Formats: sequence, C-alpha cells, structure tokens
Amino acid sequence: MRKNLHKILFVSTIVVLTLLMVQTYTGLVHVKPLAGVTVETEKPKLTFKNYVDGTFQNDLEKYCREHCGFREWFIRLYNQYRWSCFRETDNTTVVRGKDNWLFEEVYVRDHYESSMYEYTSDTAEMREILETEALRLWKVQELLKEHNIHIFVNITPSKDVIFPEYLPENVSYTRPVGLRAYDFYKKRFDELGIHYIDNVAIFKAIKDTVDYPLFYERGTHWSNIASVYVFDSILRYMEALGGRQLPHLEIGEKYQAKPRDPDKDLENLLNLVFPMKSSPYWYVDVDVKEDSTQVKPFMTVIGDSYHWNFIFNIPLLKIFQKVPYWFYNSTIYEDDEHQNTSDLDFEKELMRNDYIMLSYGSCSLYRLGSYFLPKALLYLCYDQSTIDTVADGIIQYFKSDPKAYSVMLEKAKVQNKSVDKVMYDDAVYMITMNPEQYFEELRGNRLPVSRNKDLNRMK
Amino acid sequence: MVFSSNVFLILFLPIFLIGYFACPKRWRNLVLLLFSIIFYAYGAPTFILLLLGSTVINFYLVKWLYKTDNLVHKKLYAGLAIALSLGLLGYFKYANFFVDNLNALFGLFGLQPFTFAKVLLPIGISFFTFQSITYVVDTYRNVHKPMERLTDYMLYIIMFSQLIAGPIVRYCDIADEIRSREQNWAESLQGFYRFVIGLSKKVLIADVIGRQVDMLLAGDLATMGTSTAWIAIVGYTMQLYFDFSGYSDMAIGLGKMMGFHFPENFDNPYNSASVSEFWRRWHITLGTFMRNYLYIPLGGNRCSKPRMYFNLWVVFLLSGLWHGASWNFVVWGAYHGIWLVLERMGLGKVYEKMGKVPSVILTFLIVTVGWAIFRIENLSDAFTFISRLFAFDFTSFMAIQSPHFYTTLVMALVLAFIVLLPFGKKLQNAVFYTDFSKKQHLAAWPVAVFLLLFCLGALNAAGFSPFIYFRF
Repeated sequence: MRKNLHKILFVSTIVVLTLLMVQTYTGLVHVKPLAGVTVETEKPKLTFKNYVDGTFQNDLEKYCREHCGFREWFIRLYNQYRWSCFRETDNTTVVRGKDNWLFEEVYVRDHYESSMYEYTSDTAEMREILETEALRLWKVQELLKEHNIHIFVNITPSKDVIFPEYLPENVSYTRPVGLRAYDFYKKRFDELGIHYIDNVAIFKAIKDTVDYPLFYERGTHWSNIASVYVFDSILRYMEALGGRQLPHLEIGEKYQAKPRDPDKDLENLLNLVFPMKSSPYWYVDVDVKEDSTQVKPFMTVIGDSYHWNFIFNIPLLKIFQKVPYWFYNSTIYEDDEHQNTSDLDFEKELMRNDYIMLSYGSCSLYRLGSYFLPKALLYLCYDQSTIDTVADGIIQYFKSDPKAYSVMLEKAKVQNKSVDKVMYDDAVYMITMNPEQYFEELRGNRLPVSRNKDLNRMK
Repeated sequence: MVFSSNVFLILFLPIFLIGYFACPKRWRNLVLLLFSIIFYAYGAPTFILLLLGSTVINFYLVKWLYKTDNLVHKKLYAGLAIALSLGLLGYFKYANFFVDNLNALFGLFGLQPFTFAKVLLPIGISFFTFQSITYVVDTYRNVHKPMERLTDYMLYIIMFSQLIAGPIVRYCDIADEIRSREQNWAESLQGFYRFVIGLSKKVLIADVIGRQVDMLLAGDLATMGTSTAWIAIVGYTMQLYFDFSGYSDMAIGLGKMMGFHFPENFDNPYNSASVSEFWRRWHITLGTFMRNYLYIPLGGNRCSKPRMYFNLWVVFLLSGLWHGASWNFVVWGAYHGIWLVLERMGLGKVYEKMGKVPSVILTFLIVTVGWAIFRIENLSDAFTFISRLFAFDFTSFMAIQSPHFYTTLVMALVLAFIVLLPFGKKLQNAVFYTDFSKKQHLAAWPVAVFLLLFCLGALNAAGFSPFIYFRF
C-alpha cells in the first residue's frame, strides 16, 4: 500500500468527486434537508435553442447548485464557520440582534423605516391607503352586523415592538421613519368604533412581570404560553361581542421542553451544524371542556402567520364548528385541504360565519385584510348581476382599446383560457380590488344604502 | 463554464478524470481534446466551429511554413497565420469599440452614425490567439518543430485547463509534453492540491472580498469618504490578485494532474519594489509573451533611449488594450507605461536608495491606484474615485457590517506580503515547490479534500437565503 500511496490517494480524490456527482443525480444517501423555503429550479431539458442561447447552461448551473450532492452538509458547515467566527449569515431573512436575539428582517425594517414603504414613500399617500382600509373595515363591520356576523381585529404584537432593546443597531436603513400601520390604525379604530384587541399594549404592560417568555429568542412569533393566554382573552372578547357563551381554556402547569416548531424557526433558517445556546423553552398544555348544549360558532380567520401558534397549541375544533384560516387571504388551511380563496363561492363563505377575525401582527398590519375588505364591502352591497353589469362596461373598454385587447389576447394564450373569460376575470378583479372607483356610494365615510339581497337567502 | 462552478466541479471534472485515467495512455490526448471541445462548446456554442476552423487553417499554414525553404513563402505563411489570428481577435474583441468611437467622432461632425450589429466576444479568444501566435513564431524562428498531428495542435490551443484564462503557454514550453509525458501519481496529487489552493483563493478570499467591493463601488463615488475609497480599492486589489492567481493555480494544478507543467503566472507581485518588477511578477506569461513577441521585435533595449521608451509605451498600451476593448484599459496601460519609462529615466535609482520596504509600499500604492482605472470603466468616474482617494475627507464612512470581509481582507494582505519574510518564503516553498513525502501526502490529502468540500459549501451557501414561509 505504501508503494502505491500516491495512486491510492489520487484515485480516492476521483472517487470523492464521483460520489458527489452520483449523489447529485440520484440523492441515494438521505441527508437532513435544509430549513426554509426556496424556489427550486427544474432539471433543465436540453434543446438546441436553449443550448445556443445559454439558458440551458445557466439552468444547469442553478440546478447543480441546488442539488449538489451532500450540499446540505457543506452549506451547514460553511454557515457554521461564518456564524461561529463572524456572527454572520447570508440569509437576508434573519437579522442578528443584541445577545444573539434573532429577528425576521421585515420586523427590523418596520421598526427603523415602516413596512408602508412597500406601497409608497410618500407619507400622505401612506395615510390615504390606511384611511381607505380603515373606512372599508368600518363599513364591513356595520354591514356584517346586519347579518349577525361579528368582525374584529386581533392585533398581535411583533417581536420588535415588545423587545426593541434587542434589535440590532447600526442597521443600514436609510429612509426616514414612515407612517406605521399600527400607530395609525389604533387611533382610527377608536374614532370609528372598530372592534379590535390591542395585544401590543397588553404585552408591553406585562412584559416585565410575567414569569414565562412572551417571545423566544430564536423564533419569529410569540411563545406558546403567550399565545394561549391571548386566545383565552380573545374568547372572552368574542363572548362580549356576540353575546354568547364560549368555553374557557383549561391551561396546565408550565413546563420546560425541547423547542417545538416553529419556536426557533429563525435559528433553523440559519442552517447551522450545532444548535445555538438559548434560554429555556417553556410550554403549557391546553384543553377545552366541550359543552354539548351550546352550538359551536363558525369563525374565519384572515391573517398572518401568528395564527399558527393558535392552531398548534389550542384544540380549536372543540370551540368552533370550523375555523378556516385564510393565510393572507390567499391559501385556505382547513381540514388538511389547501384551497385558494379565489376558488371560493365568496358570498356563501362570508355568510356561514358567526365571527371573522382579522389577525395581524403590528408589523404586517399594513396588509390588513389582504384585499378581503374591499371584496367583502362589494358583495355585501351588490349582487353578482350588478357587478357583472359594471364588468361589462370594463370589457367593452378592453375591446375598444387595441393595446388593452392585445394584452388580453396574450394573457388568454398564456393562461390557456378564452379571451372573453380572461376579460371577465380581469374586470371583476379590478372591481373587487377597488370597488369605490366603480360605485360612488362606497366612497367617503358614510354607510352605503345598497344591499345584496342574495345574502339573506344564504345566512 | 468556470472552474469554480458546480457544473465543472461535480459533473465535468469527475467524468473527465475517470475518462482520462481509465483509458490507455495513447488515447489520453484524444480524450483530453474531446473534453476540451465539450468544455468550450458548452460555454460558447456559437464559436466552437470558428475556433476549430481557425485552428485547422493555422495548423496547415504552419505546416507549409515549416516545409518550405523559400524565405518569401515562409514569411507569407507566417504573415497569413498571424493575420488570421489577429484578425479574428481584432474583429471579435475590438470591432464594437472601434465602431462606437467612430460613431462618436461622426457625431462630433454631425454625420450619420455607422450602423453595425454588435459582435459577441468568444470566450478565451485573447488567450488562444496568443498561443497560436507563439506556435507560428516559434516554428518560424525554428525554436521548435511544429506538431505532426492536427489533434495535438488542437489540444495545444484548446486544452480546457488553460483555455479561457491562461496561463499563456508558449508552444516551445509544452510541445514535448503534448507528444509524450509520463504519468507521475505524486505529481497528479500535488496538482490536485494546487487546484484546491486555487479554488480556495477564488472562493474563500476573492469572492468574499469581491461581494463587498462591488457594493461599495456601486455607491456614489463623488461623495465617497477617503477611508471607504481606500477600503474599496485595496479590497479590489486583493480580489483581483486572489481571483486571477487562484484561477492560474487551478489551471496549473489541472495540468499537473495530467502531467503537464504550465509556467507560473504569478510570483507575489505585490512584493515588488518597482513597477518594472511588478510586471515581471504579475501575469508573467503575458509579460513574457509581450517581451518575446512584441517588445524585442520592436527593437527592445537595443536601440536609442527615446526609441526604447516608445517601445515600452507601445507594449503597455497594447497590453492594456489586450485586457479589454475600452478606453479605461488603454489609459491603465499608458499609466503603467509612464511609470516604467520614469523608472528607466531614474526613478528606479530613487527606489534603490529608499530601500526595499518603502519601495514595496510605494509600488503597491502606484499599482493600487492603477487598479481604480482598470476596475471603473467610465474614465470620468475612475478619476473622480481617484480624487476621493486623496481628498482626505474622513467625514463620511460607508460602514461594511461584515467582520468576515475585514478578516478576509486582512488575511489576504498577510498572504500577499508574507513572502517578504523569510518564514513566508519557507512556507511558500514548502507548499508549492516541494515534493511531498508520503507522510506529508497523508496529512495534506484530507486537508485538500476538506478544503474542496468547504469551498463547495461556500459556493453554494453564498446568497442561499431561504424564506421561513411563502407569504402568498
């Protein structure tokens, strides 16, 4: 062996490289996947065209990069080196604060600038956008009340608002602090009489007195215990709002345990080899005593990811008939089926509720309702045939404008639909996104007179 | 395809190595040629036929050149072969530049611009053109016999290991090894180590520094603070060196794996005590080419002083233009040319009086400032940036929040200058120029494999930024 050592070592080099190649293309060895979600590149198919224009080569490099054999190990190893030596990461979603507290970048940005910059950099425009949404919510609240449906906002606290002392300093945000949705809405909700629970204020008040963590150092969201107590308060609030009795949560003794999902989701996202040191993770178990004499209410939740903690920690179906969760008014999580809100019979879905909870963190409050409110306002006031009449007008415009019509033709081709269907869908979409533009009585701060009579049959 | 890509490291390289070493020795050149053609065709599909075609024509022109005893015919064949190589280089690399400048001139006189479809640049053209010129000239000068087989010549021109970024291998330096070379496993192993060192220089140093430098230089140059400007340019100075020398190390290492001995391309250039010395240590194979195939034919040193200065200037102007078809490269070449002429006129003696360390520092500063012209394509921006280097404005500082960057930069500076110390020289000799004992191989191999995998981690982790959840 000593005689052939050089040959053995060099051949071993080729073996190492070959193993990487085999693992890349077969994934024979199971390796713990990296945490987080990415858009993956499909395995490129070689054609003469994509070869000559270089897209095949680019896609193959991307594919190999995403599927390189044992890449999970290599990335963790390199990330660990950067984190251990420099406290750095390439993950732009995670920001390291003081004492190694981790924050999601959007929270830090909201703290130093304002998430409203996603819409505009003009403060007056920011105010206008928020005002429109607040008025829509007020109108929807009043109109739903006529159907005995109660809508309210659950403002959940974001980590940056409760623990600003752990936020990083020397951040490179350069724009001035804009208008924050939380500050605007809180004042305006009070003025308009909108139903809401301000957990931000509650958390700030109890932050220094509670003997359990409100947030975990390595996670985005509130802790298991904090979310459980908040949900109990929400039930009491709903009782008062709807005038009906709801069960109390039976909350067990708190205990320490290994972190559960998603309590250290930010740490996971760093994809390190070794876990980070952190304070203990405290949990409580929750049960609900069901009362068979009471009819369980139906509640739809529209909101951000803070609601996951309720889903994970509370037996919601012991309280509610159904609790569909419209994640940012997009994907619906209910009974393991993940439908999209655009596929729903909206009027029917709206009317089956007893409660609608808009649950947004102070940081994502700028997306309040995620376009649910204009659509709800529209359908509460007008039936489908009235909306279709307005849509017809928009379709006529599409047809009369060659530029717009060619866009529709192109869209129809891409979506593999008839051009009439595409024009109708686009017209209805435009109306639901901004109904005030097409129905004058929806504008301003007065309650509209029109009512969608079809809804009465559905309730 | 570059060596520091996943496609090369986990697909091309293992398949090539298996194919190359599994086949009998007499077929190895053909395997290497086949893979070199695939390598080039992968990166430049539209130019592969042009490259192969020009190679075939050159091969026969030089064959006829060698066979004929008629001096006029010899000159004719040599002239045709060189004209073909330079013609292709001129057209593909400089046509756009020429037309753009011509149109700018037309614009000054109110004339209609000349319409011209933009020409795409075939990768590696600057390198394989020079290699084909050395083949013609070395045969013409009877330095070496031409290749008997077309495939051997093609291999010399398009061998993938040095095709796209050098080193520029002179024909006379490699002709014998193409014809016949011994397989030495110890050397192959050291080639692998050299490859990994080059990859590490590129991925772990140059790329880390480069990401921050790009960010800094994308900012507003006119208001840049002096300290920021120096961090940016010193960063770029290190990035360029570790990137280019890393690539050369990879090429030399790959060559060694197969039994080729490519010339060294860098010799600690930032340790130079004059700009003249810098050019003997930086991109050595280009300097050698320019000296042998341009400077000496122009008359070199054996002429009057003004003529020598002129020769130097021409060489450096063309050398600048060789780096890219843009005025900033021409000015960069002229800038170096000026320093070389000044050194010949007496500045060199001043350096000698100053002593080694001050001269090294001064040369480093001269070269570093020159890199600003090299890096910033727009000349006006380049001069603005240089003015900020000497503005002594310390009021604004664009902070880079990356200890990784600063640590890597310091490490790069240490590595760039360590050979000034006796310890550094010993270290360099031990790593690069010593045949390892078996024990040393047993220690070095796992380190090299670890570094290779670590580089793969760095390559794939850079910019890997998954989301927690999809929001929509």
